[in-house]
Amino acid sequence: MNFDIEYVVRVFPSILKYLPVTLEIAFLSGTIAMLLSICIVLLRRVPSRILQAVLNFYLDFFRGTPVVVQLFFLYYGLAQLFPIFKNLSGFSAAVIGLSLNASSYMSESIRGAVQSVHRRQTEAGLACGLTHLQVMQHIVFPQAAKVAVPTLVNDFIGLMKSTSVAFVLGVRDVMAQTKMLGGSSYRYFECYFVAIIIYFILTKLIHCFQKWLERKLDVTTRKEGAACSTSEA
Amino acid sequence: MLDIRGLNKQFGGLHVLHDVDLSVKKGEVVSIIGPSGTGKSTLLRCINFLEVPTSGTITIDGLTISPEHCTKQEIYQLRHKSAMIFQDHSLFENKTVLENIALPLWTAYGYTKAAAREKAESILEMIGLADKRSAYPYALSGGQQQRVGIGRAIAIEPKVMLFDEPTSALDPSLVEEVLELIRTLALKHATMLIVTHEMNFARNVSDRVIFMNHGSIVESGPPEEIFLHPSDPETQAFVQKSVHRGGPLVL
Ligand SMILES: Nc1ncnc2c1ncn2[C@@H]1O[C@H](COP(=O)(O)OP(=O)(O)OP(=O)(O)O)[C@@H](O)[C@H]1O
Ligand SMILES: [Mg+2]
Repeated sequence: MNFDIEYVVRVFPSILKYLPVTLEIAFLSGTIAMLLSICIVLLRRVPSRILQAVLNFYLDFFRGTPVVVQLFFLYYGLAQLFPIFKNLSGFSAAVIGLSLNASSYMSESIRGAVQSVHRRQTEAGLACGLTHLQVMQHIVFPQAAKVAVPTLVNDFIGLMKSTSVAFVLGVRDVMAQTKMLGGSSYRYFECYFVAIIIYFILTKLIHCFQKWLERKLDVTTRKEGAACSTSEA
Repeated sequence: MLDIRGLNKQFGGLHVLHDVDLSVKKGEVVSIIGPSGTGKSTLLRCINFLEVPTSGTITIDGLTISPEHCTKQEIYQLRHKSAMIFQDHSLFENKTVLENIALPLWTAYGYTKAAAREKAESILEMIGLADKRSAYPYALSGGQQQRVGIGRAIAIEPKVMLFDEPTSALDPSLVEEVLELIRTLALKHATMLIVTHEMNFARNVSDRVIFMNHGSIVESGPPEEIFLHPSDPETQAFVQKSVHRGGPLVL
């Protein structure tokens, strides 16, 4: 069997048409996961044994079980137990499941970055009269962001790739469309080749965004900073 | 202005501060000297509750709080009455020099952002760093960083300023500019509590010198007394050793 380049060109647009669905799941889940992660990091500092035990269980659960199983559990399992979940669409279930899953990774990335900020920065903020929350908001999180960007972007790439399992809940995304076209034309190689190219380019684009963000967050390369240090060439 | 009564601090089983009593009057400059590990930093950090004392009371400007029953709100109120200057790494690294001084003003002291910037500008004039207003801390010398730290403290108009070895982390050539600024503040009758290893500076700038050892105040008195005629043998030994190490005492 030979590689049919013409078929690739023909099938490319009809797979690409579902890229927005993939992107929508990825960005929606990514945003929700980020917000959840920040909450988790803040809650991590609350001195309550019960709360910490719950958080630990949450993180262990989502990092210790496969994402496909989690999605099935959420979509089919919970719907059986609680009727309200019956009306959940596959899309919503995928977004919820992927958000929860990604938040368990992202919160650890953020926590590591927060810990990398010198303790003196927090103390100085408190000594200046700021509240704990203000210290986090104005001093610790902005400094942690620089450290967190590479790992968070990796987490996001992981999330973007795992959107491809959403088809198991009946969501019609890039992967689902590829699978369907492949199944009807028997040109599996060409179809999955297209899907691979699409996912690969997507990952590369996110990497470029990461580099740009890292540069933007680094105060040592900011214009004002450089302009004032006369010793710098 | 500042009144500390029966202050104790334990870290687990380690008893670091033993029944410390200390009063500082308005406009008074008090230096604390003593060997390493004696609890000087811990004492300062208890004053603004960066460390929560085990027992005792802290009073600043009429506000008394004790660790047994104090609310978060009271701790914030207490912190609003003092400012601390650390050894190093205390400028907000993600903020410019100007923002470092302005940030506490508009976040914690009720200034508008514009008023905070204006005040920060005038502080920068005063500490002679107006041309560095948009520089980030990494681009400043250690001495300049400390001056900004002091400027940030001045800006909030604290009732008492707490200095924890403000020159210990500095290159010897940069120490003088920082000490000079602290001297200026002393002349303006700022109330200051200064932990320092600079014996000559302590002798010149202070109204009173306190010698601490093993978590207690051993001796307290005018600089001449502590440095020239200490009554306690421990003080004697420490002063002699420090003077020997740091060169002759300038009188
Ligand atoms: N967070 C902490 N946890 C446990 N022990 C601590 C802590 N902070 C300080 N200590 C201990 O308390 C004692 C007093 O420390 P402190 O830093 O107050 O000494 P110091 O007089 O400031 O010394 P130096 O002149 O070296 O700065 C030391 O034995 C130190 O190990
Ligand atoms: Mg110390």
